[in-house]
Amino acid sequence: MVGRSRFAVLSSYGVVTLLLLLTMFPFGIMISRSFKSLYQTGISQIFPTLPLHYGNYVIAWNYIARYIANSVILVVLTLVGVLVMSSITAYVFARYDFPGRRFLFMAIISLLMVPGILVLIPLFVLISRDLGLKDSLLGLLFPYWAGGQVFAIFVLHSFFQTLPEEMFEAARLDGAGHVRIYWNLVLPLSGPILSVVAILQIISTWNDYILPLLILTRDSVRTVAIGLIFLRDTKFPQPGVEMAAYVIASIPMFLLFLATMRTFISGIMSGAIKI
Amino acid sequence: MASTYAEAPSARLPRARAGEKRALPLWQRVWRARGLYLLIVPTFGLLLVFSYYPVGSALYHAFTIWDGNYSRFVGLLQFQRMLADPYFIASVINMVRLLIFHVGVNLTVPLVTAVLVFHLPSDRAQYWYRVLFTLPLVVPGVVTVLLWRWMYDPYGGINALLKAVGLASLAMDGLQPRSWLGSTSTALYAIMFAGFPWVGSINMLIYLAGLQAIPNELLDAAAVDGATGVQRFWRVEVPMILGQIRLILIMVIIDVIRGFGNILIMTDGGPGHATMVPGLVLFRAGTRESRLGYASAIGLVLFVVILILTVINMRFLRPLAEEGK
Repeated sequence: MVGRSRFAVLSSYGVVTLLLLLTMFPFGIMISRSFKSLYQTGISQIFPTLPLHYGNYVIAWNYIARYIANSVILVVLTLVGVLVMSSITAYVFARYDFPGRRFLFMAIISLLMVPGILVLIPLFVLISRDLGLKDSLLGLLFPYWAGGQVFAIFVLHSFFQTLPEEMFEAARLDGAGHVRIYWNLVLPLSGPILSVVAILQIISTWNDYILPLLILTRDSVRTVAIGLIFLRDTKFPQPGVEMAAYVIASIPMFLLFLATMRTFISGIMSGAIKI
Repeated sequence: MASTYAEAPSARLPRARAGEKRALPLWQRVWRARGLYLLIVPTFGLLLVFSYYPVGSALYHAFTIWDGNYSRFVGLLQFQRMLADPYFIASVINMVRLLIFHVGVNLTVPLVTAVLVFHLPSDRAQYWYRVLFTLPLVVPGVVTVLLWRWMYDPYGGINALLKAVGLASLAMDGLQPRSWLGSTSTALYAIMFAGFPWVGSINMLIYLAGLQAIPNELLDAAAVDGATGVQRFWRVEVPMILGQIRLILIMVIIDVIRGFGNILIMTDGGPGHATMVPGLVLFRAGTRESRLGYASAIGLVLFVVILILTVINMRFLRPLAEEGK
């Protein structure tokens, strides 16, 4: 920048770094405590102590491996279902005209305005009493498929509309049907946008805890987010173990972030803007 | 965001079969498009059962007494009960306090952070600060909430810190270590303080994206005119990212109105109703108290408020916010 004093630059580095450190502070404590034995938490609640106590991670893993497995299964099934159904539906609405198209599309998009809190209780009654899916991952899978699709269709539909019509005409002249065009033409062109949708879906499924709290009451079926909530109440592990469990639960999303940084950020931002 | 893509003119879209004339009777057009309807059946089947039906159920049961099995239509009774329920009244007051706090904080801290990062002279440094500020987002929200719950514990992080910096008297409440979430006088403030320093990574990134979209000529012109950092902030940057500012304003308001997960975990609304919020009154009525009609009525009220805000956002604010992308 022109005319900025050295002091101004240094102080903005200082302020930004301070804000960053304060933001990271609770997570720093989490990691520091996760390596402490019970005795070491007595020496200092917060600051790291030596020797590092790796054993906490082994114990924590034994506590939450089951929850992690449940979450992974749920995330994978949710993701596949949402991507397949929403991309097909978005493709149909974006590239074909048929009676009722406008009305049906508005019917989907209007669901974007429905906040989860309105349907929380009826959904809970429907799943656990009417359908008898309490304590079953299916009881979450179906509403996730339904809820996840709406925004995915909205995003994918906008993207599919931008694809040039000439391409589709050429494919149709070659005798390709709806499904062939979708599979051989639309999908290969949609990699980036599909991965944004996928990441948003993965994060929101992994992190959701309100509906799971209602549907999954049996310990063995719990997902990792709600498993952590009950960790202290039911099993009362040592503080270090508890923090190690938090760290382990954060690792999958951390790895996803490292692998897909740019897409990860777009996914999170599009999710935030969806409201 | 994706919605900026222009709407494709539907006249150019092919019908189910090429060469088909518009003049065909409706049933024939429907019949010809049967393959397409088949493709969207799974989506609509799921939405019908798990989206439209619960919405209808919520809207209807807001006017009933409902225990989950049996319901009886009672008109506006549940809404009258709301006005007479001290827990609900307290929850609305708490919500307003949280709103004021979160709006104030989210319009300042992430914005200032974004401006500072934006003006760092090195592109590499900008990039790394962006990445590092994004990092807290990988931690599941529930972990962040549980961490803060522990921070406020009588034997938790805040009290340990206070002792470490010589403020041990603050860490005590009489002869007991202070329980920040357990006392009526501190609980709501503790909930507000959680998340300090409230950079709110997503909001920071949204502001930053807005700043990066400001044409360089504008910033250069400001520099040539000898504008100070503060002048440039108020006269160039803030006007250019008004869209983002309004977007975040609406997002924060909606999040506070419908949010209760963090409070459910940290205090469950207590002590007493010191940290109760409407969403939590709904949650408790709908689960532990078997007052599902009451829960539905609260849900309807929150929905209407959020709907009004969403419409304002879609009509007036979203287009503005997306100009900058």
